[in-house]
Amino acid sequence: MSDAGNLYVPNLAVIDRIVEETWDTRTFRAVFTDAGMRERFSYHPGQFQEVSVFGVGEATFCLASSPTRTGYVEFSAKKVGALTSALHELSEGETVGIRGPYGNWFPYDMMQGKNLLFVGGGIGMAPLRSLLNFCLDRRGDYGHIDIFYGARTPGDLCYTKEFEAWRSAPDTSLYLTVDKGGPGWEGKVGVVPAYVREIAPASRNAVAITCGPPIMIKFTLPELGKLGFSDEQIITTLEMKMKCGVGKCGRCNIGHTYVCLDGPVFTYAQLRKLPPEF
Amino acid sequence: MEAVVLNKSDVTSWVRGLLASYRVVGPTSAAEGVVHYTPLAEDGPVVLDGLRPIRSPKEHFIPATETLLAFHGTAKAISLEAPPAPTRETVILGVRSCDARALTRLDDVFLKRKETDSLYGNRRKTTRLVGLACESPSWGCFCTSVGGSPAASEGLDLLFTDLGDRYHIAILSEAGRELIAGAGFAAATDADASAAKAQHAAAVDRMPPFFDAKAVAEKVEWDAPVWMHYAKRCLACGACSFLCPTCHCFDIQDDATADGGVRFRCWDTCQFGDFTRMGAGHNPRQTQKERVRQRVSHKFKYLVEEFGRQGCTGCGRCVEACPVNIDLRQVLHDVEGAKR
Amino acid sequence: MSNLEVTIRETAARLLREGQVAVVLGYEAGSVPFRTAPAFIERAEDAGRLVWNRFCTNNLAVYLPKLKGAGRIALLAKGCDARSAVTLIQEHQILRDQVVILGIPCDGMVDADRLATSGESLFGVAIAPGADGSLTVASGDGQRTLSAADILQERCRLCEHNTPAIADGLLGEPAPRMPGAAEPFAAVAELERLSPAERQAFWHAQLDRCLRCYACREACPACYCRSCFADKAAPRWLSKANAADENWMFHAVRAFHLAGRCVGCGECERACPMDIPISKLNRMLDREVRERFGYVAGLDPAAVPPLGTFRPDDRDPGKHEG
Repeated sequence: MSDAGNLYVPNLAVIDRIVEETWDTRTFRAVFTDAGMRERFSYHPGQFQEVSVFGVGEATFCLASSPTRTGYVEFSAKKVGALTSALHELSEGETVGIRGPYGNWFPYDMMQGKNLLFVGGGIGMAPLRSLLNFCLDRRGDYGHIDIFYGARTPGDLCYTKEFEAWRSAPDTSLYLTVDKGGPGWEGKVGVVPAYVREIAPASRNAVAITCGPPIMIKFTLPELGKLGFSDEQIITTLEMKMKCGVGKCGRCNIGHTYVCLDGPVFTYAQLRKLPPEF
Repeated sequence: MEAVVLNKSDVTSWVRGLLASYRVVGPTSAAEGVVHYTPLAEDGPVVLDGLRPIRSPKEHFIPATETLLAFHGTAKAISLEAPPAPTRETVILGVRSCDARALTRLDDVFLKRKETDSLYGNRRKTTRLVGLACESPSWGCFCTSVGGSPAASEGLDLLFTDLGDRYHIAILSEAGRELIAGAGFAAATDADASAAKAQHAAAVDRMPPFFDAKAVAEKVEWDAPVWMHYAKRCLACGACSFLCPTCHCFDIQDDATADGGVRFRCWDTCQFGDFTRMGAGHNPRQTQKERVRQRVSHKFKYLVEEFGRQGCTGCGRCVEACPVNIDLRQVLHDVEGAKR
Repeated sequence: MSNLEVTIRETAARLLREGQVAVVLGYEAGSVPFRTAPAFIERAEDAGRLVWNRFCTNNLAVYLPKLKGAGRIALLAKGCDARSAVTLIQEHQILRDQVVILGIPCDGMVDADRLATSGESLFGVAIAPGADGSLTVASGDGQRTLSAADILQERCRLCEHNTPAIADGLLGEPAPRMPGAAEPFAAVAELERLSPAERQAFWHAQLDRCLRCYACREACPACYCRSCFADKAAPRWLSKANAADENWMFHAVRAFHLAGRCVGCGECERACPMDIPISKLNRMLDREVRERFGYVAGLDPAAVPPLGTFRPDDRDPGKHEG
């Protein structure tokens, strides 16, 4: 149960389903144990949660599910440290704590009527998936959708079971690529920014949403610029070390901006105004 | 201003009276003569003189370690228990003006910025602050450089001034008035008031400002060489931050026991190397230069941009505690003058 | 002292001018007369910033691992600092030919806390050193002359190696032995007389006010681990909760990690903002190491500290007499 007064008491949620996306990444579907919470809980694509394994700790995960699909929340975790290792040890039916939703969200209202360009890399696809499924569930509100998604190798691609649904949605194109091919891979081999340059999606009346490893972002931004995307047309979501998620613990600031309060979603125009410390 | 006097010989009985209704915290002398603010017992001596103590009352609002919740069971079946809110009112004695002002800065973060932190807020609501004017600055002090003074009343319910054999007590709030509703207090005379005022003025005179805090906010620059100059010697310890009455950064950790455990928060500092390091290893503040820049910029620029006031009240503890003599007054003087 | 200061400046300037070192680590004037600050002198013309006085207390060897790769370093080293440098050389944290140890004969650093009487403030004081080793402390409330020898730091009074044993040159005449050098364990004698239960109570009371700020660890030249056991999440050796028992675990384990490596510079204790007598723990273990292994830290660059190696003839109190 959640104590409305104490910000730090999480809601209990049962792990309902675990999908092994890759050798080190799993997607967890969680259902709140409290019926009222299941009813009430709402969020927007782009927001994040603090997920905890009791006795191990808490960490920040973006919501990877779309709020159009109700009754559960999903987050994807790559095994990198103590908490994510503990998550990977959990079985379906076990309980975690969830605090949230926190942060701002993708400006999907502003995106209505526009063409959307998703550019994702590796686990960076997780927050994009939330927005993507949201838009696909409200297909008529948005224009043409291009999805570029890449990973280091075919085995590192997440959400493979959804590719068909994405590919076959109306007026939607999926471009997959890997840095390094492998047996059985007949798709594109090459880095994501190069693929974007090759396909050259139009920037007129479009919004680009990108998330991925820093190196991918670094080379994608100039490509988007060359295609005519202005800084206001490029949206990203930042990852920062967080603890409280509510602007108290003082950890996630960039200048006077707190990523947990004013982010994690930012336009590139906003990022340019921030000190280069992220 | 309304004021009373209390003879020093009557302090103990006054405290005894307070203990009947309140939890009373005051400066006491621990091992090695270190003065810190602890809950008082009936006969415990309270230190109501001397220089500004090295510890501040901050830890009674943000404890060094604080349980956020307890959990029982395992991941298969777990129940949670939140800590109860304080029920007794607390009175803290011997609070210096810098520390009372510092709490108003913590209010900005914990009560004003977005959500209310009720753990902090409940303590604030149920605590009264009895101040003690400083006669002499400690060697690191600089409250007058940041708009404060040794006898400032901001944030206090009462203010004691030591007049030798007695205290002049200014009544600053109704909550303060309730604390002195009892025998032992005589009305302060004009002479008492003048003596207190003169002492305050003398204390202020001893501390001309070291820098102009307003100018500093404008002059804090991202690429200034001043950060590297001090970062070279900074040891990345937490002495400055942990003693600082306005520093509030914390970590959240779990401790597991055989049948459950607790989730707690504990003091943390932007000066530690791994403060901003992420699980996979990326760290936006990789060297001490970034971290020194963060501390000073946060206190003297970012908080000014957000709330209109610095995250520093010039208590001087960081100056005195730093093992490598990074003197914030000197740092800010350099920032203001854009030297180094 | 002032002749030594001149020698220090000239030596530093020469080494930089000749390109023999990239940086000189020394002391410069602090923000107040009773403090000095670590100085990183990179240009010969800045050598005039270097000072030498009774407040040059920092162990500058702590910066050696941080400056690895910065080129050759000249280290102004008192006896304790030089021994710390030797420890770092033994443990391959710096190569011997990467550091020029400028040995300084030292007759002790003053305990700045003892410049003022209890309750008196050092705000705005001026301090004038006398030729006779006196210090005249002048403030708004008057002035007082103290003998530096009377207010030395305890670790200086008991120092056995105040003239650096290993150095690339001594910038002055060897210093006379310190008054307490014959009884280096005087500081822990009282503690050693207590029963284990009494000692536990003593440390519990002291560590109750430990803030876990890690100033002790960061000031220590021998604590250079990039990932300290106290900070590890996996495995979790220690809780970050601030409680006397967790605090004790931190200090006890750290003391064991330093056994046979600590040179007794006392920086841990000086850095502690809560005046916890941390170095007593190290000194007690120092005695153990001397008695069991006949080893003193930081004297022989070729030696291996006892806890870093195993010899078949190591004394085992379980097998041998206690």
